[in-house]
Amino acid sequence: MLIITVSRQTGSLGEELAKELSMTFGLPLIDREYVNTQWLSGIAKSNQISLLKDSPKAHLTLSSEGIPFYVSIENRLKEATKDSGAIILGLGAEVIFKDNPNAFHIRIISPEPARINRICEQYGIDATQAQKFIALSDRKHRKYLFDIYSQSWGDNSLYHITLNTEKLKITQISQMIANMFPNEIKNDTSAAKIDTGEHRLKKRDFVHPSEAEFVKILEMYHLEWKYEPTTFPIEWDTEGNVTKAFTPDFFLPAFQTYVELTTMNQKYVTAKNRKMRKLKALYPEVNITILYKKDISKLLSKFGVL
Amino acid sequence: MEKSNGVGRTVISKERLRKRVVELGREISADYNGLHPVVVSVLRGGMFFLSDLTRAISIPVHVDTLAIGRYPEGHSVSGAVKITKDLDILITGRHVIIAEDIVDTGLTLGYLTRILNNHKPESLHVCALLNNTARRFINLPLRYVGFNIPDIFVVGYGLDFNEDYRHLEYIAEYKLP
Repeated sequence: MLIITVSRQTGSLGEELAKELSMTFGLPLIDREYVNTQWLSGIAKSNQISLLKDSPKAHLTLSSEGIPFYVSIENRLKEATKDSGAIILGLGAEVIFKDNPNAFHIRIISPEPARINRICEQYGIDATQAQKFIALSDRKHRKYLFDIYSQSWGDNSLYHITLNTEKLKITQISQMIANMFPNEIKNDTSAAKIDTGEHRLKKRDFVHPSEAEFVKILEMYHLEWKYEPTTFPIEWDTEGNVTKAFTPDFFLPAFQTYVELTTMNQKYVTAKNRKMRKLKALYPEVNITILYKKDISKLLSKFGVL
Repeated sequence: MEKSNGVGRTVISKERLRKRVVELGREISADYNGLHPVVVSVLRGGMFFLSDLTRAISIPVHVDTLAIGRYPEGHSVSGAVKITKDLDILITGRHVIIAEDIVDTGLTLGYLTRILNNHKPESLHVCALLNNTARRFINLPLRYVGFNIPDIFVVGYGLDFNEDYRHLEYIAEYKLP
């Protein structure tokens, strides 16, 4: 019935560690995404879910159970870990399970330069953007713990161990924790379920034929291009986890310009425009252009590609 | 001048063109006084603009042209653009102004600026007669702009449709077939 809680600075590899521990111990991983998708729909209306995803203080309002949302979540966490244990990422679990004898609380940190490097690599953004991303995400982590539990995120007494991942590999840390609890390791790892990484960049072929046609035009002008090299986080949940990201289709290094093609009908374009506006607000220094269906048709026609 | 088939309404009259080009010439004369710039344009669309603009400049200037073409069918990079007539004047260390007839996607201008920057000019700026931003995806600073125009196909004053209408003294909308 081991419960391991993982609190982390943004870019300190806390999510990766939680996943690794989940696999190592064969325990389910419970994180913010799991709570949002599995639990909130049963106790909150759709408009409340939106608020809960964005605002820590919304957790102080009443759920359909007549108790504050954060208490509803606490109850489910306690219920979920009663018989089987779990790896819990964030959620204020270090406070919720503070006095639980089966709980072990880990805090993961890294020096800022290392965190910036990791975020740059993970999302393909530059150092200035990564620094802003980290500041925003950490602020949300800190605010959640303070608004709900009046606890300081940096209070080391909340944790049994604080690990700096600058020079440690996740597998090394996971092994170290495993050595501390050898009797808790299960052979069956099927219980471990995770993949919150829907925004991770995957290398793939062109999604739409128009992208391949667009490349022909770029190559006519000997323009170097990169396909989906950068993912910009644009929304974070209450705890600072990225919940929505935007990956422009192309990057033209010679002009430091991103190009997003949209071949969707106009009625579906509104959502993409909203994403674009968010991206521009969060990353005003990023040069990005969206080409709509009619623009692309005209362009392809003009250059004889169609 | 008699209008031909496909040529629609006048977008910019001969008089407005003349007045604005003179204004651009004055601005350039003031900004480049003592710098002896080189004004460069792309054949053939920019030839009338280059001619009128440089004659409206009151300071000493050098004038040069280049031409862009496409690799023919059957070539390994068929369709790709290439320089078919290079500059005759050495622009290294010079102040260069590109006189462009029209900037729309920014692709041609982007190609040009990369080519010209390879010669390491002291400065490189753009003077665009027409600016259509509707389909722009390569944003380059345009120091001088004659007219901002909507997203329409235009001909005249050097701009053509299948080599026709370059000779028109005004800019007109062209209804594509």
